[in-house]
Amino acid sequence: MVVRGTTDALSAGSSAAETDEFTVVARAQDGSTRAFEMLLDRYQTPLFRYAYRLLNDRSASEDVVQETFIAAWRGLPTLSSPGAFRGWLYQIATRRVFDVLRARRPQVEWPDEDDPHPANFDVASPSQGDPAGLAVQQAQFEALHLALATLPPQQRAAWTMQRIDGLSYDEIAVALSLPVSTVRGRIARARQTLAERMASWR
Amino acid sequence: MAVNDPSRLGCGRLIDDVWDTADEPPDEHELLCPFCQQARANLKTLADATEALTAHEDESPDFTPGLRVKDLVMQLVHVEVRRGQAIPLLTPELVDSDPELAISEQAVLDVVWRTADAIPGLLARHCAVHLHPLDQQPGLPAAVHIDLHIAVAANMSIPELTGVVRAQLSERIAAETGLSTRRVSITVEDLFDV
Repeated sequence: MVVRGTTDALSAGSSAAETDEFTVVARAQDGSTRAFEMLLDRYQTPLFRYAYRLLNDRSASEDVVQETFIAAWRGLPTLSSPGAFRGWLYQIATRRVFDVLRARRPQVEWPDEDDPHPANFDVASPSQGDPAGLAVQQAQFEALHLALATLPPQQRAAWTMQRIDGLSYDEIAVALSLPVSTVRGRIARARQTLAERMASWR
Repeated sequence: MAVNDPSRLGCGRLIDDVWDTADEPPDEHELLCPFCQQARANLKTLADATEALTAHEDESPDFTPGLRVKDLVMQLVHVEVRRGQAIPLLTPELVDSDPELAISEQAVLDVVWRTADAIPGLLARHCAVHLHPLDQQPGLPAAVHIDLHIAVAANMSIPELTGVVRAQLSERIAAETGLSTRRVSITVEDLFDV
């Protein structure tokens, strides 16, 4: 018998196994369809919204979610640790999203991820035009959606994962297959651009 | 430093730090610093918009995947289910002959997890079932070895708890499958606070 490490606090009781993600992932790795279904219930909507923010296409986003979970089921036995699940899941989804983006605009070069002032890049823009031209009564989220669409894909993905999905820098680094230091830079640039563009809405 | 580093303001402060405290009153430095004041105002607007975006997504059915997504995924999962090895319920009379009745490893794991979930103070995680390599007697229930990884509540006595786990697993596996549990190896891989 070996004792290793500590984990986060959990609620006591029989439902604890269902609320502890490490436990649920471990069981899904061992082939439990019930555990996998719990992961599907937990992540299908966040992943769908993540894809939707990047693709602005409901059907394509549903396909991304479906393909991501099918790949996850097949790949779970090879996942190094249950604790790596969320970053790994977002990595699968991100690769599929980027595949869709590339297929959609194969002739367009990606904007420079390190450009502090990227030009408008309307892959996911729901509507065109200067934010100042939008009607005053339009909600802030529409302006943010529009501002997000101007970011290079990696910046947009990184900022979304951090600020909306709550992933750690380490998880985002896995999801984007980038060093953590690069992820920090991407997010900082995205935030700077978004904050500047949203400033006109104050 | 600050000019070329997008993560810092002109005054040298990390934008992350300013973001994290944007909802709190400004500190002494921020009250006087024009870089921080501008950044706080910009970030507050962005934070408000982010909140509005997530609230809108929560309220609108457009931001929830259709039911078909889960249905299709689970259909495939059930087609590609991993049942693990087939474990004979009775050891065959003849060596290497096929057992008349077998149970999937996955079915035994379900018994293990269900039993463990009813014991307070532990989380049952990875588990594997092995046929005991030496202790098989023809015509009698197959002997198995359970290899279970668990996390234990920090206020529990590990020797007492693992004793309970061993006893209950042996009992439930025998009752529900007929298998004879000769050994339960337990790895306590985590402790958790309650």
